[in-house]
Amino acid sequence: MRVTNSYVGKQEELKWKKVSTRKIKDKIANGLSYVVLGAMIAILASIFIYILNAGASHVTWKMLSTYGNTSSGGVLNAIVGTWMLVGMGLLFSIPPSLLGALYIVNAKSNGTISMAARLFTDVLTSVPSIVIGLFAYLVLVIKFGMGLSLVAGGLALSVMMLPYLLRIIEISFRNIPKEQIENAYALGADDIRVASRVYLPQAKVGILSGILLAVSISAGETAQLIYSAGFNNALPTGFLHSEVAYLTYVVWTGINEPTAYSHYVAFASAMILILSVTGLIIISKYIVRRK
Amino acid sequence: MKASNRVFNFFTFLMAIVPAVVLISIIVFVLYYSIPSIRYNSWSFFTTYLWNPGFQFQAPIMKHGVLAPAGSAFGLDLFLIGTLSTSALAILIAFPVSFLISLNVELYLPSKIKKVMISMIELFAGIPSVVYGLWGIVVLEPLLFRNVEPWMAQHLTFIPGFGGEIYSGAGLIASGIILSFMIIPIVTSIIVNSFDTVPMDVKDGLFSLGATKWEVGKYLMTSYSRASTVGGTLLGLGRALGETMAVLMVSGAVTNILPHNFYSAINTMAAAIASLLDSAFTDSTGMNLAALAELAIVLMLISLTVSLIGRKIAGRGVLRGYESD
Amino acid sequence: MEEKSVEKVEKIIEIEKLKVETKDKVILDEVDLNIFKNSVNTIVGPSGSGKSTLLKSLNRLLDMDTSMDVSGDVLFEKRNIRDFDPVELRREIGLVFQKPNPFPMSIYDNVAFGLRIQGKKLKKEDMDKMINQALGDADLYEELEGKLKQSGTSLSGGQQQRLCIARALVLRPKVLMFDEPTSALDPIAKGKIVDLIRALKQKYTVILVTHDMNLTRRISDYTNLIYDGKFVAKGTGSEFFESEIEEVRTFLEEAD
Repeated sequence: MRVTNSYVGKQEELKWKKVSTRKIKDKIANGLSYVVLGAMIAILASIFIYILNAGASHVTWKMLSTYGNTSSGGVLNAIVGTWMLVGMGLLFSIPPSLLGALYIVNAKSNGTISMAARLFTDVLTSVPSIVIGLFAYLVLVIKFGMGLSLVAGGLALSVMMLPYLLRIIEISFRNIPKEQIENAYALGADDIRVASRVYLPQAKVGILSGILLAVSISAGETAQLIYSAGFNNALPTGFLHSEVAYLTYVVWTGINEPTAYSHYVAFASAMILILSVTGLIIISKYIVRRK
Repeated sequence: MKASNRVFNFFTFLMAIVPAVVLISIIVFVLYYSIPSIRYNSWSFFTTYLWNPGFQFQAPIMKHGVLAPAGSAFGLDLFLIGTLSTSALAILIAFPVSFLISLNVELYLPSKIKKVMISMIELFAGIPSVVYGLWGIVVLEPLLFRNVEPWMAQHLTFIPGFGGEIYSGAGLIASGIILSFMIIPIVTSIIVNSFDTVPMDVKDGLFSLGATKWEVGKYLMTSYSRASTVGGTLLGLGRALGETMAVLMVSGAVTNILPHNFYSAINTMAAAIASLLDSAFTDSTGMNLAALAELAIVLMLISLTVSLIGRKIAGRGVLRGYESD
Repeated sequence: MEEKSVEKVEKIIEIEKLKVETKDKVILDEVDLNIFKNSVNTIVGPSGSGKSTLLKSLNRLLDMDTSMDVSGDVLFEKRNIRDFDPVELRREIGLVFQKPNPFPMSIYDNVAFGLRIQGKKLKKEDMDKMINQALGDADLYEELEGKLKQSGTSLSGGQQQRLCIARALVLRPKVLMFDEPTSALDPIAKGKIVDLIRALKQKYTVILVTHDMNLTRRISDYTNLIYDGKFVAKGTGSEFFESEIEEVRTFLEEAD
């Protein structure tokens, strides 16, 4: 074999771009990317500091310990109401997401149905929250006669939580080594046993962190709840036909009201929200990392 | 197979189709409730920007076989313009920012603090939208109104739409900025994930040919990560199109007045549904409610299509972080 | 065993007391080595002995890895590689990887990549010529003539590896480094790479990292055995295989 000795004489002249010009472009990209990252972190920090500071300087013990609305009284009803709604949402979304994910990962399931289920789950995550709110109002509140209530609000939240949880749980299930599942089947376990002895215990950290994230997202939701949960100056008296207060509502209406006190209540609620939401996100990351 | 196992499997099947049942019922019910509006407004729903609830205390009128308040007319143009323009501005800000952040954490930032920085950026997605709205009202709007927009209106008059009066700070610019904060973490995490999936050998290969980091980043962006970037941006866009509360709080939420310039108050489809639903209850003919349902259908159609295309383009792999982390 | 027989050959790279370490491990322990021009310089040794790290420190790819601490000197054509810009250095010293790593673009674009980022104002027809020459030098031109629009990843393993060689050759490097270039290939593809490397030394200096002693016997001009971050034997091809140094004997026995 012969290498064409093309370098001598007949080869085209090859000049190089100036390295310094290329380096300058690289330096600019480097600098700009740091500036942008720094600016975004600064904005994030300023939002946090502003909200925490405004909340901390206006929150009082009385505000946290009494019922009320945005013009008078406290936000205890909204704090409790938020967690009641979130709890209700979990109640409606955990069973279908857990069992649905078991169906999707089960090798004996119908592949077409599994694929379709995943596709619909994906699409459902993208439905705008206000459309879910409108649907909840038209169908749950009016047509099914639930009234503005804990159940209607919880169901509206669960429409958002369900696809989210289902995806996370499915991923946690898929992260389990295949041999473990095959071994369990080989030992004669049926699907119920494999689910309860392999899938659930192995994926429990993933599931838990997913639930925490779903809670953190739904605690900050508003649009689904405006016309499904309503608002209440006290705690709801039942599951149906009794309106529920929640924190995001207080933030939204409080800041749009003219009195200083309603602004204070809005700031305090925003502080509670941002603390609980980021707290939950951090805890969820922590438990995943510790595993 | 034991009966109990069969029952269990059937039950898991039922639960797996819940998302499909929910999605289909949302579409079917909202569409069903919008039928009166579709009949009443016909094509004018798409050709006018006026949204007039009509006179509640006059006798309702009958048109195309449906009852509606006298003088009522419903058109989505104003809201559609608002939705598209706020989302477009959000993407215009979010895309370069996300690209530069991804470039930074992948190539320039010491790898030790990469994870911390990504987690910080992801926190943007965790802030509830009403908190963004609150911050927008008390911090961003005054800042825009007092400092930024006067300067823009004075110095950027050569760009059409940047001259003229300033309103309150609420409007397209405030909405676009806040929406961009909400979608930057989505777009960033998808781009970062796709950069991470590029084999180490290929990155080393690029560097071995003498490429600078910027050249490597630019190349990865236009080859390996092109699909994920486009898909991720579309997913972010889908999110921005449907965002309600923050935009409701900082857009000015106008009806019936088209924006004159970039500083005008605007409104979006999602925000309009949230703000107009209250008064729609009082309409005994139900036409106002039906018109909002029709608005919801159009909004859902746009945002689902955009998200679905984004998902398809990006592929499932790189969406992992965005969905589970 | 000193390098008596090789004194007349020009050295292109001189490595002096090169040390590479991470926080808890010394990878290269103050190694000295000369690379001779227009020869196949082979570095053999068990896996994990620091061979690949040595290659990556020669084109300063190791600089990217902040966990690695590099000290000592490497002279390329009598000039310290620290005085080069990495971008220029990597143009002069090409690297071909163990696993073929073509970029997901056409064959043409794969080879053109280096020219596009480094070359100044290239006319289309000049670029075409240079790409054809590089493909020719990598013994790919005849196989791929007229197929340059095909994706680089659609080629067979051996062709991909030669494409990666062409991609490096188009920048007209002085030194071409190969990191176990045949270990991922079948025997026929391997044979072609071996012939190619032998031919390439007419124009380029070749540094070959391998643990394949058959390959070394066939093409190596200078063979250097590295063990745990240190060179234990250096010599011309025949000297090396006849060496009485204990590590060489053990290594050769284990390799066979």
